[in-house]
Amino acid sequence: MLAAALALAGCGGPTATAPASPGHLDVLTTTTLLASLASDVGHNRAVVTSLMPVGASPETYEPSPSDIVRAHDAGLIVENGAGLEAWLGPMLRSGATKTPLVDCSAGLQIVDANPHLWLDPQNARHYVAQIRDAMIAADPGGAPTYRANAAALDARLDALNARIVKAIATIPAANRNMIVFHNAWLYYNRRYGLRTLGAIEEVPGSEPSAGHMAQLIDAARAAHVRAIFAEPEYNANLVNAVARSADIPRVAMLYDDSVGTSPQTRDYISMLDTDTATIVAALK
Amino acid sequence: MIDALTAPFHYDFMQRAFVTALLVGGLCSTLGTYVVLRKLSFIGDGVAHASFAGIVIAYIRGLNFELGAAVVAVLTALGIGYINRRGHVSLDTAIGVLFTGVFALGVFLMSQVRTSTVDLQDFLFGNILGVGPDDLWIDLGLAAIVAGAVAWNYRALLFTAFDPTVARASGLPVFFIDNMLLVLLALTIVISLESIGIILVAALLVTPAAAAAQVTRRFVPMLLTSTAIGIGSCVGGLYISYYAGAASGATIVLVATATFFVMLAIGRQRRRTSPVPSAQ
Repeated sequence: MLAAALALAGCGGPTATAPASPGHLDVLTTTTLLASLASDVGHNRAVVTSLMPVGASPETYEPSPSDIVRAHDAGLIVENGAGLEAWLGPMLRSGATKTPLVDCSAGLQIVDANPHLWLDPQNARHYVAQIRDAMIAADPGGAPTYRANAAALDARLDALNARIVKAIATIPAANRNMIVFHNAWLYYNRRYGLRTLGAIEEVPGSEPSAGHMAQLIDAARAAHVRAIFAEPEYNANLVNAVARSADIPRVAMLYDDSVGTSPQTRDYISMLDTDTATIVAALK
Repeated sequence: MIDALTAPFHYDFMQRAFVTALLVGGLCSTLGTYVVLRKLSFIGDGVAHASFAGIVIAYIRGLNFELGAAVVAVLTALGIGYINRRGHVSLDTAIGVLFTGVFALGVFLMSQVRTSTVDLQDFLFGNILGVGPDDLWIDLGLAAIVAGAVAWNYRALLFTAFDPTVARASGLPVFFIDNMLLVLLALTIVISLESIGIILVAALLVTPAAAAAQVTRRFVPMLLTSTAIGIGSCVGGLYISYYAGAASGATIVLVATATFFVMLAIGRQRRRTSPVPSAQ
């Protein structure tokens, strides 16, 4: 039963990069993006799966009984923290109190209670260090593997950061304005000097008011916004309505809460490269 | 003052929202008169939730979401009629049985799909502020079909609404009329959901008609009052949502609810001053 659940959960997820040989540590992450980072850190040693499927919204996820069984049987649980997984605490209390838990965002500065710290690759490097230390604590025998893997991933994240800096620099300064569906891009925008003019859903899952939509449209017109960003998981009706009313020519899709299923968005680094290319193409 | 009334019309999303309010608000609150008289108050919520199973099946099979939702909604509505006739239970109980069952089927099937790239419920349920030009044409077509069907069967619907037993005894095709009403409701709910969302559909099918019933028991005045309250709540709610910065769907529902309580007070006041109940 449990094996079936794990097999089912594994297919199509970021576990495609899981080690070839069976690992010594079962790691369960809450989101697919954490699974992407953790499976690189645990490469050749740990088996990493994500609790949430691709495309699920971490803000509104409802765990199933088999999720609790998976959490109970795991050797380590990796969470984002910063208030993202409000459902995780009750779930762990009801069946997995002994499984060690690592909060990836612990020690980072949280702005406006916004949990989307991972979209800044410099924060992701902190996540990697947190995951590395937690894996070593849970499986001391694998310490050399985890250290080497984490160092390699850290270098790749550093390179990703450099690529994004270079790409964003090609957007004229006056065009660096973003209107997004929900405010996942706060940390990315602060890091790379983009302005977030507004978000349609100010609180995830809450409907906007007519007045708020009108303010977004005024702000978009005043700043001559060239593109507005939707997310593939959600209904684009409201985004399209703002685009039509403000004469914004482009509606582009960004991945932020979950990896996608295409090779261009299947792991953390390729997802952020793809998103950056989308942002640059839309705003340039 | 005039500026305050016209300012929202500078935005074409607000123009479309107002037109949708007239069309869908009017449509739902007109049908609402039958909903309230026939004790079908939970049909809006019921069919809306049931149609979720339709989009899950459509998603799994790679079919059109709207079509899947519409087919399951119509089948659920017909099933509600069947259980009501054969199961010796009232319509509200039939709705309760099927709505939870079909919705649970949707959730069950969804939990089997571990990799989804979309939030299916989010795709089904629209928002009155996000109505596109295509939605408007679909809503207009639906309004025409429903208005035509209601006008064509006006007398039969009226008789079955007030007293199905007498209607059957007098030779009216009650079976056909019942099923026609359920199918019209199912289609209205599914199509309205996509343009205005679940909370508005569920409320507009009940509250305006219930408010109208406080001040009149006569059918035509009740129908017209209900339609007027439905449209008035939508338009008033949109203005409040624009100026108060509140979620549009919820604001419209609250305006309708407040109107209901005003009508309740007016109805009580009238009955107190003229103790003879108005004749049917």
